[in-house]
Amino acid sequence: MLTEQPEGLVIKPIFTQGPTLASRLLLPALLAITLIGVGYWYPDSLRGVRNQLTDKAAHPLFLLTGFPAQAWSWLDTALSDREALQERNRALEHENLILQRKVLQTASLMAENARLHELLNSTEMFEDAVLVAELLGVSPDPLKQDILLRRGSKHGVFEGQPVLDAYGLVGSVTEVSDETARVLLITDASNAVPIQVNRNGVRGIAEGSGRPDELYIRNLVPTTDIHEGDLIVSSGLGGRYPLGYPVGEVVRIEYDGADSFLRVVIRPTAHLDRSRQFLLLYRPEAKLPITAAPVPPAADTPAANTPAAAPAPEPAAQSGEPVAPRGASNAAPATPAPTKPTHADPVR
Amino acid sequence: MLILSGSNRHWWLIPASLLAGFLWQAWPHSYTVRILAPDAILLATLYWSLRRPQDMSPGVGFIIGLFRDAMYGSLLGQHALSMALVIYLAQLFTQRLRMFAIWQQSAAIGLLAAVYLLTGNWVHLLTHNTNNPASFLWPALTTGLCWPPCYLLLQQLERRSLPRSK
Repeated sequence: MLTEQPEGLVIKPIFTQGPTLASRLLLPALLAITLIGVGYWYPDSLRGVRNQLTDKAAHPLFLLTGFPAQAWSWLDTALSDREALQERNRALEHENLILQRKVLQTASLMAENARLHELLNSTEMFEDAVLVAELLGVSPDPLKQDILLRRGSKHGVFEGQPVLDAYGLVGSVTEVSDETARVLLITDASNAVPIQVNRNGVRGIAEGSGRPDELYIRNLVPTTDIHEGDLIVSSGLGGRYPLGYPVGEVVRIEYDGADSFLRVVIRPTAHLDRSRQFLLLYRPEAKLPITAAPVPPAADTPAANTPAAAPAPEPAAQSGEPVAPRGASNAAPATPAPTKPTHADPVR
Repeated sequence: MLILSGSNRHWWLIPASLLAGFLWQAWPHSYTVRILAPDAILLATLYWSLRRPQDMSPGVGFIIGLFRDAMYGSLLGQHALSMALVIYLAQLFTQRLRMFAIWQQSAAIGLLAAVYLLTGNWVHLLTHNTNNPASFLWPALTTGLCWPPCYLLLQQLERRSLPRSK
């Protein structure tokens, strides 16, 4: 590492040796530890750097690796013969017509649902606006179930936004840069979705397993009314995932005699490993928990202290007590007393 | 002589091999492949750490690790720290490693990859409240196994393009 010296000029160098190996490690290691510390305790401060790195480095890289799959499907379409394309077009129009009919029916069902909710004095059911996003890439880390989407803050994506695909709930946005968004899937080990059984409204929390095909509901009492094949939907409690979107299907129920709790294994309905297009949901008043009921006037309080009027953000309700089967309705925590008795009849 | 100094026509070899590593890691593999896949970035990095220490130092590893953190979505500095540490270890034992037979080098590379993964796991444990299953160590084995072909390939490319390193 000695510098070259022009002829005729003798300069005695001060540093006769290059830096030792250990000193070459010291600075980067300290810097890395500092970054980790700052990132852990003050995550917002490094957001700018992360976003720049994601947009300028990770984004083009994933575009590059996604290119073969896109080229293949483009080629597939470009080289199909005309008849095959026409046939496909017809099939899609047909499917579209069927779905349009369902939408027409849904519109009137939602209106009726909203009216019924108003009668029970709970919140209006908002209709969710959506943004379509395409898959950019899958996170390389096998220990984290995570995908990247090609929409970012400049398209209106925000942190915490729920994400679906055509078949069910996929996850929520954890990190947004200008061009991309990172979505943590429901199957990630650190993710949990408040759910209810579609058939009878039994509530629980579906935790990710870390594997791409399983979710677990833990800590249910053995008398819980849940069976194999049950459809599990999001319950809307907790405010992050809106009510009513399919999360998964019960695959098996494991009973550990020693623990005396059930563990229910769910397979997600969303095609987490195959979907390329996703929907990002907006609620008209973003960040408002969908189960926040308007505060009733003070006169109605006496009977509101029944056990069934427990507050909404309560986790897995498995006490076996009047968790009345609610069908598809919201938990209505602060409903005034007069309407409570009719609603809380245990219809089992 | 530094590879990036002006007179070298084949300066692109090291960045290209690293880019190939990044492309491999970013590729949409299936879940099982992702658990077992060798760490291509680490393979390329360790090769150059052993062969051209003037070009690959813990500082350069830090930068590579930062890019990796951006790609993985982990805390900035997690992979950077592991990368810098592993390059340091490789360069500390360079003389010995160069003397090893290829399969002995494989074992050493596997160990270095294990150190890389363990450091990453340690940072993860400190900063998250989930535990990683033990399967996070599989890439150490496969990286070691993939060392011989990788070494031979890069060696051929290096011989044809770069001046002999000191």
